[in-house]
Amino acid sequence: MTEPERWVMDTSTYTHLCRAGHSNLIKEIAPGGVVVIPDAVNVEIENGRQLHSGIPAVSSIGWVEVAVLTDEEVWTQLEIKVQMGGQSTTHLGECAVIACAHHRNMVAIIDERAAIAQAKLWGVTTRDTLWIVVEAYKELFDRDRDRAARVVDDLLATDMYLPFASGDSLFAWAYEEGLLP
Amino acid sequence: MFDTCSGSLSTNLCDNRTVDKGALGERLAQAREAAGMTQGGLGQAVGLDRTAITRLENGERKLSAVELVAIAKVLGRPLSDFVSTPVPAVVSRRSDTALAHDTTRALDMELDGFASDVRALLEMRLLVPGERPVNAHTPNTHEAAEQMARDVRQRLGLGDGPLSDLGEIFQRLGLHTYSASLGEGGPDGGCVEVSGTSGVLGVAVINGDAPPGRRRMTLTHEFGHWLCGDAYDRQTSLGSEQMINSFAIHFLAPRSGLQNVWNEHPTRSTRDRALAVGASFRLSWSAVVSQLRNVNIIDWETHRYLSGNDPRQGDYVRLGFSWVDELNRPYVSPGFAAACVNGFVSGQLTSDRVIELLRGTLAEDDLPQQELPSHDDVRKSFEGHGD
Repeated sequence: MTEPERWVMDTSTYTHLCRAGHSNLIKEIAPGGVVVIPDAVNVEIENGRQLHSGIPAVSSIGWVEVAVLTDEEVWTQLEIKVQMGGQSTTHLGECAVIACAHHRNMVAIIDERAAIAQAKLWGVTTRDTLWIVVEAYKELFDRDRDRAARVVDDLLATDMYLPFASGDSLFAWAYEEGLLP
Repeated sequence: MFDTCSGSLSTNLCDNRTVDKGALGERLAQAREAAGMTQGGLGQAVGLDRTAITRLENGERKLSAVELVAIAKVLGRPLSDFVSTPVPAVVSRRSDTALAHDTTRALDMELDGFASDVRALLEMRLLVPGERPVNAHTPNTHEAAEQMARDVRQRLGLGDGPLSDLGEIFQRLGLHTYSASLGEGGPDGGCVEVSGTSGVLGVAVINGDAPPGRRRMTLTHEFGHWLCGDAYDRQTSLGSEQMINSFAIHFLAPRSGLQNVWNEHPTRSTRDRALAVGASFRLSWSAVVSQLRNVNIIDWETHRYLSGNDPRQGDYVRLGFSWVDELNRPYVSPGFAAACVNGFVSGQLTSDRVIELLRGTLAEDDLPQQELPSHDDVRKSFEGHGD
């Protein structure tokens, strides 16, 4: 199997980066400048649009392809849903992302730890929202820590959880740990 | 005779499986009929017309996760009933009526579900593979069965006294237990072997509606199957079932331990001494009487007398014996429960999933606080950037 390149994205990354005003990072960083969003995620995004401003409709974005899952992919989505639990439609978006990535050899962009654990079981490569910011630090911001830290601050303002109080403290920690690319 | 079944589950969790929409349709139709609903009624409940349900049951409709989740909810069934792979050997067992193992659909379903869950936790490394003795095989004489029971007790450092918490003891050698509600007249239990990439585990489901002594005997019987590695042996004969039963009773009530308890009550009547043995080793009356005869503590005449004088609960109370109820439904092995809760705390399992896995033994409010993502979790976001 070849190294996966294209991205299939979950609700969390899309909505947080949109709300933070940095959706352009997705387009700039995604391989080919396009991300795939399964229809189940699109439904969740539409629900999110009712609750928060600043989230554009997927249909209005040129760099998004909405994917309708095949029967094989839906079956995998359901198998993952069993492992994610719940009687309702919760987690169906994440399950669709993993199923799509598994069958189409894509990278899954997901933040939820339980979903990442499932992706690992299915042999799916994952990235998360912060990974995109770190990639932007390297590829778009000319390794300018202040710019990257501001993006993190904007994400924290959308209630995205990180174990750091600010972008500055995150990047200072990463620098001290020798993690910065 | 115990009414049990056994088998193996070796399909990998994430194997690509061909979607069999026909089989799915059959399962949906069976579940709908079991729920007493018409196609029209089900369609109305989930916002579809009758023809959509007909086409779904005929395997002709494009699959939709939202629809199937909704249908499972309306039918009061877990989603896994429709999409999980059945345990192959149990299916074989059920269809092979010539074998001594007579099982029921309810037991098969519980075994399917519990085996799938154990396999998932094994693949997630939340459960570790069992360390089953490599040289164990089904004994062919009662002496060999007794010796095997002694060896296993010695390996586990159990001495020869009464055992409590069998679920904890058996999980040390890789057998995980679920005590389910299978009805008072239902099957006693079953056992399957599950394989993951990291190793194998045993899975036993027992009938939690059976009397306490029978539950313990059934679970120990399944433990015997697991130890002997014949959970997958379709050639298991009536004779080997008797040998596994022999192992089970010698494991629960070893000759020397039984004699010790018998000797502790020299002034009591024979029947009261047998009651003492039963209460100590938590055996059913028939098992006590049988084992006292097996180890030559009583003769046949006494065996006949005691067999015809079943005790009542008050007999134990009169003598001051207490009986700790064990394997009362719902029950899961403590190691299985710990794996589930640890999976939740570490964020690998959702709270919804953990509650399902724990099968009513813990409520959502009982779950401990989930650990928040740590610096180590963040570390992964700095990897894979090509430098």
